[in-house]
This record gives sequence, C-alpha cells and structure tokens, in this order.
Amino acid sequence: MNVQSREVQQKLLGEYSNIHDQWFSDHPAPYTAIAFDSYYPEWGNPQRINLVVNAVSITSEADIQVLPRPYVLDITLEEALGPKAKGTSEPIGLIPKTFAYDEERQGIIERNLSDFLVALLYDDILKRDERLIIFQGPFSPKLLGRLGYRNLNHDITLAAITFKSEWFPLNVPEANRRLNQDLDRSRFFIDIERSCHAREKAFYQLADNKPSNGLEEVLKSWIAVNNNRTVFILELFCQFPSGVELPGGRIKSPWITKLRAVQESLRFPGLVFEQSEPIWLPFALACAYDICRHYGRRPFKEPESVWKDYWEYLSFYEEDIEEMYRVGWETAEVVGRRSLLYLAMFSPQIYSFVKEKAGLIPAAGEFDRGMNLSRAIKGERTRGGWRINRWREII
Amino acid sequence: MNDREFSHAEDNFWLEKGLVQEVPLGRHQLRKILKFDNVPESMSIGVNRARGVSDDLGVADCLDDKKTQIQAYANITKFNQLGIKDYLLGKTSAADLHTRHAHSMGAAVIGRLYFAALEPFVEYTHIRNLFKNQHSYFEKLMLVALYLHDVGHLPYSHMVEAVFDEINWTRIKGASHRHDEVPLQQLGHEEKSGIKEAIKTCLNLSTEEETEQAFDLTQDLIAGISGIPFLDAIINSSIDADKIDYIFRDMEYTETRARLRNTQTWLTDFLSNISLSPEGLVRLNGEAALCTLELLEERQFLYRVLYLEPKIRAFEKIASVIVISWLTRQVSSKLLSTLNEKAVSDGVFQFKPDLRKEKGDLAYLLIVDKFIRYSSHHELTLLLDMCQELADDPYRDTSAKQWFGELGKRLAGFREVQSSQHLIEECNEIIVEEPFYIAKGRDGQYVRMAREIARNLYIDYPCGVLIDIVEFPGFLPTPKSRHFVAPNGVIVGETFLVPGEKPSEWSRNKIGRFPLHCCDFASLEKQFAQVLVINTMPGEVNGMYFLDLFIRRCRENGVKIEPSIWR
Repeated sequence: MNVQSREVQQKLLGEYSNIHDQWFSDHPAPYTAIAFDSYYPEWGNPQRINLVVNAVSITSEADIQVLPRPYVLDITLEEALGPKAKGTSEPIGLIPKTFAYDEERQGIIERNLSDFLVALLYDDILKRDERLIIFQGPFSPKLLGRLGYRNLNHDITLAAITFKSEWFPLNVPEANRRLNQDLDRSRFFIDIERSCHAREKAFYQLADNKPSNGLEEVLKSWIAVNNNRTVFILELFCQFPSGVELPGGRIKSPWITKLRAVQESLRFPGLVFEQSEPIWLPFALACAYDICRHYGRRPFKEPESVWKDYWEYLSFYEEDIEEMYRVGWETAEVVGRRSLLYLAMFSPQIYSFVKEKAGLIPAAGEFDRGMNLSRAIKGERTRGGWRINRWREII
Repeated sequence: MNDREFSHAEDNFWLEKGLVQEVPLGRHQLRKILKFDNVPESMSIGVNRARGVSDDLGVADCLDDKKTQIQAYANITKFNQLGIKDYLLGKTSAADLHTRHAHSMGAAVIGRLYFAALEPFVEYTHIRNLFKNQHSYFEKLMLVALYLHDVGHLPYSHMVEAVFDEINWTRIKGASHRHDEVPLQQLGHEEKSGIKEAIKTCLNLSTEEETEQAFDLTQDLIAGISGIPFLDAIINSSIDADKIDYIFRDMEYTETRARLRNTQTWLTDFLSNISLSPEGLVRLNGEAALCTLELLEERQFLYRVLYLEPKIRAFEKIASVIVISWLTRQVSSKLLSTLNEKAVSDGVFQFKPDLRKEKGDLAYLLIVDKFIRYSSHHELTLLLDMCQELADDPYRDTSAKQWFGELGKRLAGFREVQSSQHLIEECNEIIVEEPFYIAKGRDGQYVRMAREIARNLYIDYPCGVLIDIVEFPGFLPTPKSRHFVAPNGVIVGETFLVPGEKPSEWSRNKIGRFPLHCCDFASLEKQFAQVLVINTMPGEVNGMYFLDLFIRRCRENGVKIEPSIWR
C-alpha cells in the first residue's frame, strides 16, 4: 500500500475505533473477497461481453493486497452453441433474459464465471491458506454445483453477499421479504449495528431467507435489512457443518460461527454506491467490486438514479473515480476516501477535518454538513481548474 | 466371383476361436427372393491367421508403424473394452485381452467379411463407377476407419462419457463428448499427421492432396457420413461391424447369452442374405432381417443383464463419483495456468464461447497420463490411485477424505477375485433396494428432473448415498451424425432396407425394401431410466431415508415412478 492509501486507511480505522471500542485489541480476521462486473467492449454488439473479475485480500494487520491487475474474461457468444447438456443446473439469470440473452447464453456466461472463480480459488486463494472467502453474490447454481463436487473443508467459510438490487429477486422470494419485514418474527438476529457505523443510526438486521434452489442443508441465507429496505443478501455454503461443543455439553451451531466470521469482516467496512444507494460491505469486497466496476471502456453511461441534494458532493467523487484509477490511485485509497467522505456527514470529527481543508462553515447535523460539502465542492468545480488531487487535499 | 480368403494378425477372438475360417455364403434363397441370378449361388469367405507378415491389405502394419506418433491408437491397446466390469466379475485374466484395440481388430475382421459379402452387388448399383478399379482403395480405407473408430475412447469406456456429460465437459467443440462422434477431430496435430502418413503408405498415394482427401473420407466413414451407404452401414450404423463384434465378444467373455443363434450360424445366415439396392443401401433380406432382429434383441438383453445390471451399476456409480471428484480437483488447479498460456494479453482470456473444451482436453491428458504412466494400465489400480489422492487432498474435509479412503478399500477388494461372488456380497451390503424405474418423458424431461434432484441430494448430503440414474437405450442405435433436423421432425439418413414396417411380419421369404428407421420398434423398447440407490456407508447412514426422500421429491416434481418394468 502506498502512503496515501495508508493515511486514508488509518483515518478510517481511527473512526471505526470510536465505534468498536476494542478495535485495536482485536485484529480483524483475514479474508479474501472476489467481485466481478460486466461490460460490452463493442458498442452495439451484445454477443460479446466482458466479465472483469478481481480478488482483494485483507490481512489481520488490515493490509490490503490486490491482484496486480483484474482478470478479464472476453466472452464471444457464438451462434453454434452445441447441444443442451443433460442434467446440468439452470442459470440463475445474472444477465437479464432478453432476445440476445436467452437461457443458453446466460448459462454460458454463468458457467464461464463459475469455472474461473473455482480456478482462482484453487490456483491462488486456497494455496494461501485462506479460511474466509467472500464472493460477490449470488451463489449461482453452477458455482454451487462445482463447489459441491469438491467437498471443501468445514474450516473454510464460503460466503456470498448479493448487493446489486437487480439480483435480489433471484434469491429472495417476495413472500420471504414481506414475512421478514416484521423482524420480531425473525429467527436470526445478528447485531451488525456496531459494524456499520452507528452514526447513521442505520443498522443491518439479519432475517431468515429460504431461497428455492433445492439445497436445504448446505446453503443458508439471510437478508440484511435496514429500515425495511433490503440492503444485501448473505449466503453461506458449507457441506460439512460441524458444531463446536461448548462447556456444559451444548453444541454451538457452525452457522453461527461462520456468521460471526462474516460479521468480523464487516467491522471494517467500505462503502459502495449502487444506484445512488450507499451499501456498506466488507472493505476488501468493496475494493474488489470498485475496481471491476470502473474497469474497461464504457461506451455508454449507466442510467443514474437521482442523488439526494445533500449527497451531491459524493456524486462528484463518483464522477472522478475513473480518472483516479486511470492515473494509478490504489483502490484502498479510493474506497477508503469515499467511506470517509460519506462519514463526514455524520462524524463531527471528520467534518471538522474536512472543514479546515475545504473552508466550510460549521454545521449542526448531517443534512447541513452534506449541503455545505456539496455547495463547497460544487463551487470549486464550477469555478474551473478542478483536479482530482484536490480530493487528497480535502480529506 | 471366386471364394475369398484373407489373413489377419492380432485378432484374439474371431480367429482364435476359429469362428471365421470359413463362412459359406449360400445364396440360393437370396437369389430366389431377389429374382436375381447374377451372383454365384455359393461362395466361401474365410479369414485365417496371418503367417509371418500380416495381410489385411497391410493396413494394420502401416498403423502399427506409426503407433508412437498416433498416441491415441497406442492407448486403446491398454484400455479395457468394458471398463471395470471384467474386474468386478472376477475376470481379471480376461481383462488384459479384452481391450479396445482387440475389439477394433475384431471389428476389422467382421468388416472384411461384410465387405466381401456385399462386393458382388456393387456393380449393379448407382455407385459402381465410383468403385471401378477402386475396390482395394475403399476396402483399405474401411479398415483404417474400423481400426481407428474407437480412438476417441478414454479409460473406463462409456462411464467417462457419462462423467463428461454430467459435468458438461467435451473434447469436441459444440458437441457432447462421444467417442464415436468425430473421434479424429479430437486428436492432436502430431497424431493426425501420423494417420495421414499411414494412409499414404498403405494406399500407396503420391500427393498430399490425395492423402488429405483420403483422411477426410476416413473421418467421414468413422462418423458414418461418407455418402457411400453400404460403407457407412459397415462402419457406423445400427448393425455395423462394431456392434457385431462387441456383442459376440462381450457375450463370450462374460459367458452371457440369451437367444442369439450360434455365432457361426448367425454370421453365415446374415452374410448370405444381404445385398445392395440400386442406391447402394444394404438390403436385409429374409434371414438377414431375422438375424438383425435377434442381434438387436440380444443387445437389449446385454444391457439388462450386463451393461446396466444393478450390481455392475452400483460400482460404476462409485467409480464415476471418484473420477468426477478427481478430475474436477485436478483440472481446477491447472486451469488457470492453462488459460495463462493462451491469454490474449496479461490477464485477458478469450472464451469462444466457454471452457468446456479446454476442461475436456485437460481432463483427457490428465487421465490418460495417469493411466499410462502411473497406474500400470490397470483400470482398478487407477481408481485406487485416485482415491488415495482424494484422501490426501489438503482442501477436502476430513469426512470426505475418510470416505474416499473407505471407497478405495471397497474397490481394492476386487483385486484378486476370481468370480462374481464378491460382487454379490458387496452389493448385498450397499444396494438399498431393488432398482425402480422412471419414465423418460418428452425429450427426457423427467430423467433430467430426476438427475437434478439426485445432484442436489449429493451436494446436500455428500459422502454417503449415491443415486445412479441410467437410461435404457433405444432399440435401434443410430449415429447422431445421421440425424437431420427437418421442420416436421428428425430424419435419419438411412443405410438399411428391411422386409416391412412391422418386425413381427418379417420372414425368410421377404425382400428388404422398407427403410429400417421407419419401422415400428416401440413394443421392443423400454422408454425408462433405471434408478438405483447405493449406500456407501451402511451402518452409518440410513439409506432408506434417502430412497424415500428422493422418491418424494420426484413425485413432487411430477416424475412418474414404476417399481418394475420387467414383470
């Protein structure tokens, strides 16, 4: 990690230590996160699609290790696709079904992705003795099938976090969502409040989810909900769940142990925006996804949801991210600074630091802080001469 | 036409058992049916063991000279024809003789007899000009095709094809992995060069263009789409030399026989009554049609009592799980480096459209390499080695490692058996209940559903109960390459004519004039798949629970179950 990344990280860790009183005495469990995204390298040609895959590891000293460059799977969906395979799993539908993406082509994309993820797992991640691996979700049936043949050790926790809202319906039947909105009836109640900055007064509660993919014993799933909004879906896969015997003869469920491991990773979260909604993810997963999302030529802009007024400065930051990566900024710095900027609305300490650098007036609450930041940065950008290094000066 | 005598080397079945030294072709009945006197009333064709240098037109010698180059051809000398069945049945001593190569030699013997029986009729067909002064050329190419028709095979025979099907790998882009579908396409550049050189030598060709044409024709002959109907019939059809050889061979080696007439009688009756139509299609007249029916019925019987016999299937299912687990493990750890070698640039990989072929090719190299180099060319030893590696896998759960260790011990028990008694005892322990059957449904939809349920159960409850699902084959085997999709259904490119639409009305006095694939064989087919539940950990796992669970889930998904289809 370079100097800027380390500075940002220290500041972020400092903020989180105010939330987690025992942060520095408990080192985060190391883990590796794998994320992906897709884009079309040729304008107007849906038969060629690129999947970008990246893996980011975080050590127990909170050091971020990123692959030297992301992998790009350049997939051409040819006409002659061959006979339908007997007995293989159906695609889950990561690319929406359209005239160009029938079920078979969707299957090809998911198959390639699953093959690559498993190859990455065996050729790289497991060789480093990693025990917690967090995938960008959902777990597709093809990936689960592949993992199912491999009988991985129960010590290895495989988790998937689905945070892109267009994929929620793949894994969360509507009935489950309505049922779990009344959280008093939920079976699982994991407190991740303290993991995702209590300043926002937002906390993620986990509610039970039962997806309909036919696996009942080896796959468990929960919805993380915030103010009745599904924030992400968490899945855990383990073929040999064995409980731990506690004093007194009780057996601690292996799923609780694995959930706690994921909770550990969320104690050092990073922020991503999906359709202008903030989502806190394990920091390494946020970094991995951010690289994939901003990789590659984008011939057309993604449709943008409207940013809230007092978050407008964050939209400016998002606009500058492609250039940041282009000039070589590290993902830990990019994601870390985004997280700090967002927290500046809620944290007087961070706001006062920014206030000095950006010349802001004092503000009483998050709305005022957000508006002040938005006006100040908008003003600077409008006056001309804006450069991305200014972010480094602001925070 | 005079009597014909050939000589062959290396066949350890037809020649060794003296079954083809003299095959008298009595054509009196045929001449009567066809009202055709232009073929001799009788002639004799026979195959003798070669003295000194092998004859068979020199084809075997030419291919043998190139064995080091045509690695896939050298490999089939070591692959057992029936996978692990010979070991399970206690026929270990026969296993060494019962190879794919021996079968290919046998198919070549039958092919020569078949060709000799039909040759007199060629001059009365539309393709006579093609054959003018070229009989030897086509006969030699036919032999090359028969010797090489199984080069696409891997150890464990069709079980590995089922494995590839289950995990959706292939060695042929755009097609499922089948040894008989364009096997030469799967070969490497070096191997193809070796075959071309062998063809060039044995056919005495002078130019590269002629050699390429002959090689292409060989590929087409193996696929059964050469365009010369009777050659396609001999090499890849419903009653080809391959089937005639393996049915009689497997019956003999496993001492299984139901209703098929004596081998020599069958050959005589069949070959005496076949002829060619003016289009070059093979007419199965009179007795030849009845012999065909018997052969195909015997094949169905072999499927019931040998190939799909539940005791055999139980251990083949265990073997296939071992092979799948081993292959997926090995390929996973090598796939990234394989991709890196082919990367367009650093970290950028092109997929057109996916990795099925890459994984299939990698799997082929791994399994053949392990079989040839490390497992003493012994299918059972290979399985035991795989079990050991799986038991030592550092990333696999302890329970799984122990399980593979236990499977290895179970299989090791077959090392020294001399009879099928051990198989019976083992199966009494692990087979939960008698097999039951599920209807195939339209396009096999119910079988697909059942397979998905079985797969989910295996993932949900690993290393315990296995569920084997296998479809009974159709009565009339036909190469897929001869299936053509038309607007109103699938048309099969025909190579045979039979006495009538209903097999029950075929008789010794009728001429073959009706396309074989338009006949109604529905009453002779079983449109079912056999399901067998195997408990690999009896005493630790309750097999009946999983049997009930599987049946319940099948019923919930509309899959129809039959307890028995034979009684």
